[in-house]
This record gives sequence, structure tokens and C-alpha cells, in this order.
Amino acid sequence: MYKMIEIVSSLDGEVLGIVFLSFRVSLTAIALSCLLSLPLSLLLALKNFPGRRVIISIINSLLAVPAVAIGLVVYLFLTRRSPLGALGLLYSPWAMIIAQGLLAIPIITSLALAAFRSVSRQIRETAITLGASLHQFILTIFRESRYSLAAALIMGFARVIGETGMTMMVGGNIKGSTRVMTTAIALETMKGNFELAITLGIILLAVSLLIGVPLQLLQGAGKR
Amino acid sequence: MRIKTEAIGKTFNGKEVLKNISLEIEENRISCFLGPNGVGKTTLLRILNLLERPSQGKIYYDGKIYQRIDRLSLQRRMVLVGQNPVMFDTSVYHNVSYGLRVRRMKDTKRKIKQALEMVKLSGMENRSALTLSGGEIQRVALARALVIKPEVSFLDEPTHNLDPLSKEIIEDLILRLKDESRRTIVLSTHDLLQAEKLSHKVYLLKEGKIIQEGKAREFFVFPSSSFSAEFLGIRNLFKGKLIQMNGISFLDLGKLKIEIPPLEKIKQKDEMYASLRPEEILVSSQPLVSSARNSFQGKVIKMENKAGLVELTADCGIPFTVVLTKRSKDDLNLELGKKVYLTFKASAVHLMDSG
Repeated sequence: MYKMIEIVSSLDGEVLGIVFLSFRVSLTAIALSCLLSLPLSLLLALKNFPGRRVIISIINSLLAVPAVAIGLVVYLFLTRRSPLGALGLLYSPWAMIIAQGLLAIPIITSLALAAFRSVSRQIRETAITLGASLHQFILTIFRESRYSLAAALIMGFARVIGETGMTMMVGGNIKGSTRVMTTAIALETMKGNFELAITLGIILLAVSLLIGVPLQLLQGAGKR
Repeated sequence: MRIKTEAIGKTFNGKEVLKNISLEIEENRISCFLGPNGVGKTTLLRILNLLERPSQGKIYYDGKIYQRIDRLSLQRRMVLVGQNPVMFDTSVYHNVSYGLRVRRMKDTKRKIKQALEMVKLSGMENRSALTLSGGEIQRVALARALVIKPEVSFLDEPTHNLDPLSKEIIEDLILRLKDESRRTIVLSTHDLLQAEKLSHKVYLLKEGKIIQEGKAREFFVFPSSSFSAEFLGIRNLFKGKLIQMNGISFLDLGKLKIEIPPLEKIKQKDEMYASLRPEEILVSSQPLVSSARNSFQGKVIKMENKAGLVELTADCGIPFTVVLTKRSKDDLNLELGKKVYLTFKASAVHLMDSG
């Protein structure tokens, strides 16, 4: 117990590095998946084109895909003998970013779609009749759905930063290189090194709480 | 901007909501689409504002077909305020500034202050627009549209379902714009008196077609069809001479004189039309002691049931039509031939000059 407090209070280099890497990997993953998810969900929310419903149902079914399956697919694509093996990405932070990004895409797309759809037709037409250009129009849609949109990003982030098995498969849990909070906790617990495990666990818990509270507030604000 | 349409039609799911609409919107004038709900007024306004595409026909803006014009620059020359306007989830200030911001117009603060003054909401800049009442929303929406000084403004039922104060503020504003005659405005309403009051020219619509156009008061006098007459609800329309006695104004209908709201500077013997809504008239079996200035004795000559109400015609020298509930009719034991007293206020009389 004393040692735990010591670790938390001193926040030694290793712990700090792990926490920092966790955030770097997960935030990058979310940022990259937004590049695909946000335009896609905007398109799905605003345009009616053939195949739209099919795409939406595919995205919704992807929500149910277990993370381990994504880990396996990413592993197979990045392993040395695979087409992308030459890039040497397996067991690097980028492998984790790719896997986490793929995991987040359906979540963010489907929640952002719901967020964009909650902007009423009247609001969209008001922007148009008041003279908004296409990009001003899109900005307005973002602004009008800002609470639910932020909630979508936070949900995605919470999901990927807490992901363990998949991250371990493609990252390898290499000390100082790909060891993140969840994989470190799993490892240290198995080793019986509870002090470090519990320390990281508390930090992870704190992160969840710090994410969860604004999430609840945002969802409340969106429903106003 | 001149707007002209040629044989516009619109079909929704096989249902024809607009047929063969050809019209030319007069510049710097207020035009009005008049008709009952569901007649296509909203669709027509939306088509003119490019929010909807016509199924047939052509629209010309300043003589050019709309497909040939850059959509955004055309859109920025006009604006539509819908029947139930919505607010962006931000302050009143940022709502009103929207059109100015997207056009990168200068001097925003002063313009917004003026626009809010115009709709009598000064000082509301920092209020969250989502906390406004229905009437305030309509007024902010109007300010948000007019602050851009668009070449053409489309106002869909601008006083629909509003509290009396907001309705008055909006009507006064439109009246002021009508007098200034510097803006092209197209509005829609189902209220004939409003159409007459607020606009220079009225298009009467029935089932997606324009069936009459001109000045509203002409519709009163020369309804082109039984539909016009029925929709206009012409029940009590009188023609008479204006007279003044002891400073009180009357309309002399020959067999009787009705007192009308005080008029300034009326010329003797001026001919006027007057109308009276059937629901403004009170029926009683005994003479009423009241502040209402007009009371006549008559005889019930006709009674008709209409959608739970009773439409009664009483002959007081000239026939008056009155609407009352079935219960009132029963309470008063009304039947054909029975003697009744009709009472109404001078202010209920709506006057139109015959010019």
C-alpha cells in the first residue's frame, strides 16, 4: 500500500511513459478514424443515395465485431509474411493505432450519424435560405450537433483506451515501446506485481471517470 | 430582383400540389398568396426560394432561368422565413448575425441592434435563442432574415399561431415596409383581412391553382367564383355611405345605420364597403344592455348546422349571418321566425374603401 502511494506520488518515469503512450495511441487512433467517420456519417445523414441503407446496416453490424477479431485481421495484415509486412509495423505503436482506429470507426460513425441526423431539416433549410455556402452549412451542422458529436468522440475514445486483448496482440506489450495502461495492468497482475497494476488501474479508472462525467453532462445538454 | 414563373407544377408522391402557376412578382411591392391550409402556398414559396424543385415549368430570376445562375449567389439575394421558424442553438445575437456572417458583411453589431429594435426585442442579444417563446422566435426569425436586406423576402404565414402582441408587432412591421415600398416581399396567409391589410397584390389559391389575382378588396366585391366567396367567408358584406353625426361615424346601409370605428377626415357620402365576421355578432332574445354600439332587432330566417356550429341568418331589414354554438342555440330556444336581437361592437366592423 505504501509503495503504491509512493508510485502514484512520485509518478516514476515508467508509469508516466505508459500513461503518455496510452493517450498518444488512443488519441491518434480517434483522430484518424474521425477522418473517415465524420465525412462518411455526414454524407449518410444528409444525402439520400442508392446503397445508403445498406452502408448504415453494415456499420451497425460492425459495432458487434469483437475487438479480438479486429486484432487478428490487423495482425495478419502486418505480419512479416503479409503484403504490408515490409513496413515493419507489427509490434509498434502504429499497429495499435491502426487496430484501435478500426475499432473506433463503426462506433464514431454510427454515433455521429445519429448526432447529424438530430439536426432537423428546418435547421438545415434555415442555414441554406440564410445563404450558407456548402462549408458554412457543414460547419453549422457540426455546431448544432456539437454535444452529441463530442459524446460520440468520447465514447469512441473510452472504448479504445480501455481495450486490452487486441492491443496486446498487435502491440506486443513491449516495455518502453508498446506497453500501455491496459496491457501493463494485465501483465503486472499476472506477475503478482499488484502495486504497479493497481496504480495504473486507478489512473485508468480516473480517466474513465473524467471522461464519463462530461459525457453525461454533454448528453444531458444535448437533450435539453 | 424580378421573379417570374411559367407554368410551374409540383407533384409529391403522385399528388399534384401545384398546377400551372404563372406569375410575376412585382418589385418593391408586397404580394400575398391567400388560401386555406394545404392549398400549396408553402410549397410555392419554397420553390421560389429554391428549397424545392418544381416538377414542371420554369422560373426566371431577372429574366434568367434559375438553372443558369450560380445557386449560392442567387440564394443570397433572397430569404425565406418559414411558418414555424427554428432557432440555432446559440444566442439571439448569433442567430440574427448568421446571414451577415456567411456573407462576410460589416457593421454587424449596429445592424443587429437595429433589426432587434425593428421587432421590438431590443436588448435580447445575449438570450439563448432556445428559451424564446413562440412569438419571440417568429420575431427573431424575421429580424434574422430582414437584417440581410435581401432583395426578396418570402414570409410563410408570418403571424400563424402567434400571441396577439407578436402578431401586432409583425403586422405593424410589414405595414411599415409596405408603406416604404422599398422591399420585395411575398407572404402567404389564410386570413383575407390580413392579406388585404398587408399586401399590394393578392393571389387567391385553390387546390394548387391561382384562381384569382388582384387587390384583395376586389375579391370581396367581385368574387370570381363561389369558392372565392365561400373561402373569403363573405357573410356580412355591406355597401353604404359614410356619415357623421355628433362626431360619431356611421355607415348608412339604407334600411339601417351601423356605427363604425371613429374615422378621421371622412368625406361625406363617401361610399365604403364593410364586412363583419359572423362570430363577432352576439345573439340574444332580449335587448342587451352593453357597451357594444350596434344592436338591431330581427327575425330568424335561416338556420344551418355546420361542423358543430349553427349558422343563423337574421333579417334586421338587411340579413346578418351569425355563428353560434349548438348549445347557445338550444339555450336561446332559437327557431325560424323567432324574434332576436343582434349586438356587435363598432370596432368589429371592418371597412374597405370602394376605390
